[in-house]
Amino acid sequence: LGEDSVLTYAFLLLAILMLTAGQVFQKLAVIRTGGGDWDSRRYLRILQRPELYLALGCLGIGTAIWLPVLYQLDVSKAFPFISLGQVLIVITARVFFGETVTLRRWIGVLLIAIGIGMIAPT
Amino acid sequence: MTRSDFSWTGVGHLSVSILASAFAQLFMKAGMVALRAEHQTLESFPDLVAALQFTEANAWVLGGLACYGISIVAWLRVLSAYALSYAYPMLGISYVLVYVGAVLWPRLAEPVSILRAAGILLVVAGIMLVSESRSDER
Repeated sequence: LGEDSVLTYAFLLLAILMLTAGQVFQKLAVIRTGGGDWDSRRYLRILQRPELYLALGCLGIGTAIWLPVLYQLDVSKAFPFISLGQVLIVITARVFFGETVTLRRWIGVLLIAIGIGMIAPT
Repeated sequence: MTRSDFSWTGVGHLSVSILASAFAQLFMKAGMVALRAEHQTLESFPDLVAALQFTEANAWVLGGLACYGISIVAWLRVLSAYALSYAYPMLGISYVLVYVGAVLWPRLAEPVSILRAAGILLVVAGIMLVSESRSDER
């Protein structure tokens, strides 16, 4: 597991996938819980959503994989790579769910890609 | 009940979520820096698990995980109570906070790099554009 090793970047990619999936499940858990005040009943309802446990599982695995990445790379370098998850979500929405992606979003995707391209060699 | 518009409660949860996620990253990195000082090489994943036991690194990592937990709970509330069109673009702020923290905190002392900083600003701008959402989206 060296600084520039393929393995470090494979871990980085895997962590991005798990953390992004975790975010999606978090959002699903909240959406499927329905509205209402955040009283004890609302917390009990969200604790019964299977999506919440999928989210926590993904975030847990993602974080466990993230630690060896941080061991090798500066956090100021590694952390921005997480934003590639947003790129992944946009492309998944377009390719797998046939959603329309606005020009504004594509420009955002391009900026993130260029930004990561600038951070990667530092 | 809708709270899709601006609300100070939402700002509070959003701020906590962003700050806690930035501290989570910085603390976890501090843990890895401490681990590195004790064990120069890390050959495998079991090595990492073994090395994390009974060391100073452990305390930092646990602190980081605690912050991470706080940010997750705060974010769950942001997702439900606050217009996402306001919330998501703000997540980009955590990238700036982590960069500034990593450079300024002597324990991490990461190098100042113009290229890296410029790349992060592009990423933040990109996040703001990507995360557009309908104001009625929940």
